[in-house]
Amino acid sequence: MAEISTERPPPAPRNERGVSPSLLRALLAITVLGVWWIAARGLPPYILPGPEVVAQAILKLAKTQTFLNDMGATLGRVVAGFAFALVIGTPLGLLFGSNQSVGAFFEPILPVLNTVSSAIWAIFAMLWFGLSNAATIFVVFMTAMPLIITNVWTGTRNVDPNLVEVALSLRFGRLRTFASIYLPSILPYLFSGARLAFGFGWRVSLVAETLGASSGVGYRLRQAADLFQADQVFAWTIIMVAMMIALEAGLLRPLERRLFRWQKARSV
Amino acid sequence: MPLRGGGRLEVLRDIQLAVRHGQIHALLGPSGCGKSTLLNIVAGLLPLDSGRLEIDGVDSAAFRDWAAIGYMFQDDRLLPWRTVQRNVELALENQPLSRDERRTRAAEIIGLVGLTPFAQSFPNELSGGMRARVALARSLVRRPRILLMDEPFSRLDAQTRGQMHAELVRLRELFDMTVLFVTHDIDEAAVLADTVTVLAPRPGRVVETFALDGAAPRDATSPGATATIRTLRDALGGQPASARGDALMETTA
Repeated sequence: MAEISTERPPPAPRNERGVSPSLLRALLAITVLGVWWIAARGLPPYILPGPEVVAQAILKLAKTQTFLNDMGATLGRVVAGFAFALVIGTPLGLLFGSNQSVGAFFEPILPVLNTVSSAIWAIFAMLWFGLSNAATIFVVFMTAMPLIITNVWTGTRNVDPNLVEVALSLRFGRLRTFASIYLPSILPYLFSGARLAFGFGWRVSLVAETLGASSGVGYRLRQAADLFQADQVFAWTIIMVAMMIALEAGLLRPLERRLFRWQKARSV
Repeated sequence: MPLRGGGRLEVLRDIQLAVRHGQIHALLGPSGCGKSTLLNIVAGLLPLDSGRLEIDGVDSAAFRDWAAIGYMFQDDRLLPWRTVQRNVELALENQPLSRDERRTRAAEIIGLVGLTPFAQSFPNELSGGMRARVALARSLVRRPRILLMDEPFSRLDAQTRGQMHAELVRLRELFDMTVLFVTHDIDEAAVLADTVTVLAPRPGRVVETFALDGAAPRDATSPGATATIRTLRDALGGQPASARGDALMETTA
């Protein structure tokens, strides 16, 4: 439309006035549910179960005894792998960042680790650890650690040398300089790396569990798929997504906002 | 002498300089004259290769009372993740003070530079002039007897710089400090200093030291100040003074 109006400015897009984002979200959810419901009517339930079938499956699932065990098993493995990655990856990132020759020596390893598919790690895990918690923990660890090393390393290299000079002029010792200058400079990088690593960890834990576990959400997903219980697969999927969203909105995002308040501050 | 900065370059030669207690002493020179190097040596941040430096009547090798020396950088260098209050407290964190004492003393000095309403603001919420005040507060919170300043106001606009000059003179009286500041700005030296030492570059050496009349901050357009500015400009463009033998820098605070 190449119409030029000299009388009044074009109206602002609707979503900038009036319509609230939460209303738009609700609309989107209704649309998705509607499309799903219509599509499910034309397909057999072992291919695409309808929303109401899946909702029933979720309710039934939540009542079973193994539900909490499976959730707990997966969550425990993710947290354990993630914790190992954090505890080992953070000092390594600091070491690589603070010692140039060590960093330059190990640098080529990181892209290699990052390109190895988590499915390959899962195969290795089965080979080395068999059907055990360790298999999934290992896969989460191998996926999360390079991300944490990379981010901490980047953070270390981005510490402002001018601020280090301030600490020097104040005659701070090494430890105090680290705690008051280096650590706070690196923290945003560490945090975004950890967030990324945790998200990846979740996803690969399921891959690992479908191959190398006898409990956990991934194991249940594969079991349901083997038995053509599509409603179960959908139910687990929705539960996992809901949990990720809840964790993100309820814990990670508020924590980040609180920790890095100073970045959001705007000029007067 | 010679003194050396980084590498094997001779940066300073034959520097003989006495800074008198309670004065605002300017080191005026073009870039490359080693004035910042000289300041860093006095601050103990760079080693003295040869020669002698006395601070407070104590040989610099034996000098330990570093809290008596405040240092203000060219830019404000505030920690962006700390509030104004916490930025000022930083300078007290390796001092033998309790948490409450640190807090009180920081709040006190923030009040003195007129930033109490902004104590809980973050640096990127402040204007350049306010940030300079925070940096000044941080360099003063240890109540130093000597304040070293490395072109501290060069990034500020003219009006804000004038305000900071008045602020510095006021706080110098209040704390009874000796101020040694480095500048390449002739006007700033003429307005602010009691004594000006003009340096020449490569290697840095003293051209001449001038005692200025009248109380700082002076009006840069006053006849006295314009005469001073002319004299300093001549000295900056002129011939270096003859070699003065072994270096002796004394700050008697």
